[in-house]
Amino acid sequence: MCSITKIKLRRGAFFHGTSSPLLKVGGKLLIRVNFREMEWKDGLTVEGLLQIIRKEKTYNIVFSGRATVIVNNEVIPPSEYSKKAIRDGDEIRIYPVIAGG
Amino acid sequence: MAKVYRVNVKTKTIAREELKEDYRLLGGRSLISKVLSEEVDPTCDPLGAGNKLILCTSLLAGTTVPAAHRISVGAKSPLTGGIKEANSGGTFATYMARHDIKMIIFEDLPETDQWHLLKIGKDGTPELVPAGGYAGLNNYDLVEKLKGQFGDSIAVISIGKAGEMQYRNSSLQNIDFSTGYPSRANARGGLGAVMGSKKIKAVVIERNETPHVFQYADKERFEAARKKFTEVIINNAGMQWLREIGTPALVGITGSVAIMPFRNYSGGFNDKLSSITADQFMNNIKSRGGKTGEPCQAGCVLHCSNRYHDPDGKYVTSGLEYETIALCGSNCAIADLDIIARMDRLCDDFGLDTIETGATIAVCMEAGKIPWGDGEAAIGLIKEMMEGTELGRLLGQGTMATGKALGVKRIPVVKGQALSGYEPRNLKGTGVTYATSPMGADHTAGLTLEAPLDPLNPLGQAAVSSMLQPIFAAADSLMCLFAWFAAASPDTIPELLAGVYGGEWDFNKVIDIGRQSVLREKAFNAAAGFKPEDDRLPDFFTTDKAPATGSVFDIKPLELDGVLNY
Repeated sequence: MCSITKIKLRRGAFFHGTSSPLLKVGGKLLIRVNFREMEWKDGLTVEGLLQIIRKEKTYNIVFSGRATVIVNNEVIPPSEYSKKAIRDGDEIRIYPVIAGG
Repeated sequence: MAKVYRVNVKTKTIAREELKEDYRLLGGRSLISKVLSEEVDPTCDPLGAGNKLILCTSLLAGTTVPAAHRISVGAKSPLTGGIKEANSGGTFATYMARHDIKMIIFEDLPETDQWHLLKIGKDGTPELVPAGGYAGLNNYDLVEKLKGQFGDSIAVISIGKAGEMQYRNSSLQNIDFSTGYPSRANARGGLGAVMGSKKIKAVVIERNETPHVFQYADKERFEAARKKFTEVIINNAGMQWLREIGTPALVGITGSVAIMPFRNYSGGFNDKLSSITADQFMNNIKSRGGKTGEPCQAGCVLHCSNRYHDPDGKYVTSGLEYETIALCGSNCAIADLDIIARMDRLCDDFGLDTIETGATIAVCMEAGKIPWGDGEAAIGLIKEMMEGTELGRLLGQGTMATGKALGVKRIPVVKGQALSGYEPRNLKGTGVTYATSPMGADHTAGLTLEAPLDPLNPLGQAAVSSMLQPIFAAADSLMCLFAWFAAASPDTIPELLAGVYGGEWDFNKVIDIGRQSVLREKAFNAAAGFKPEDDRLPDFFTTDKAPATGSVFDIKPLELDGVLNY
């Protein structure tokens, strides 16, 4: 079970800022989420990641329901969210399932 | 049976008909495609006597189903040269249903330049009324003046000067339920120009005191289905964002994966994304007395609309949506929601499609006519359209005409219509929809985010688009798309239809409404002269890598040719 409260996003980094090569900065392990860096901690799962994201910003309310999650170019079925481990260096993309306007 | 008013603008006569029996289970997009297929020569001049302008309600209009009152407008499009249906919420369809009017058809061309409006009185009587005093007005002033003449209890669908000038990017506007302003747009395909060609400035419906009582085939079954449908929507946590923020909530997400277009569909990331995301939007809304969570039509439980105020707390616009922020904002590298809101207001007022307008402004920026990100200059281009300058008249012909005239290489259109707010290299299934929909590039024809696929992987995208397009066409025939996706399941919508119209329904029968519609639309376009090679994206999407992802649109032509071949 991941300890999501100990994981910190790089300040304002999730959907903002600039994209950069995925490096281990200051010994911290990183993953990339929607093309932005994010610190990684052991035990993180897709479900844990979604919980973090939902808390970060107003607009992440979009992910309060379903989302399409892709880890290293593999679509993860929702039934696997709680089991699918996210590893150091993983590339994750998260998409809303509905849009328009 | 519901009523049909057939208005001949040449003879100034109005025939009252009953809805044909074989139209009974059609509405919205499906009814538009049926009538156009049967009554309009696909080779006709879209602005000539042979084209017809059709207004009709969605299949569930008149019932108490939430978000069921959409007004569809259809004609052969002067922008695409193909079949077109565009729908909106607002108040107009509700008023039509109160009078049990299913459809209004405008035929022929007038012999004089005199403008008219169609007025439907409290007793349901239709009348063509000279409207010379209204010509030249834009939609906001027009609605105010119409309310002055006919009272506040009216629904209006109208054109601004863009429609009068027969701009191919012109819309019809109808009144938003919450604000009372003409901010709901039947935007795409230049249908305002078709209305303008017939010299019809507006249709005004007076509210009747005793509305038509809908005759349900099985009231008890319907009520059970409606209750369940409504509860599913209200309790759908996945739609909470629509109620709290509305579609601007999507900006941050689609921007983060470079789906939202930036700099004329460059395929890159918007480096000023945070200026236009929902955080900024909500700050502006809350600090200035604006509002989110408003219904655009009576009886809606989704409440996804908004009203946006300027820094002085004064109303600017309502129904400021994701697509407008994407096209008039990000795609033009404009990073100021106040500017985007002003553009939205000008478009609603003048009667322009904000998607086509934003795309057109972006090709002007690419051509160097104005700088990237220069919001005031962008507003200046809209004002040129309003003033009818030489450049403005060119812009009014849409993105393709403007791009070609200015020598722009990257012109993001399919079948002459600008792409909406989704980059097809980074959302490939929607690229398939853009390419193959009979409507031209249009996300409401089949947005593929719903599918559990990697949007960057070409595998399966053509099949998914082909599967989704009839579903979207069915939704656009029945109700609001958001309500559909909030609540659609094999046991909700078929049950609603069984309660309303009788008989046994399953989901396949519902989707078949959309499937048949798409097939009719394809046939119409083929007869109009469209070829398989028209079902393609512009070359630059297949040759130029999107900088954000390194992706190109790599769905093969053979796969595209197989889409919608049922």
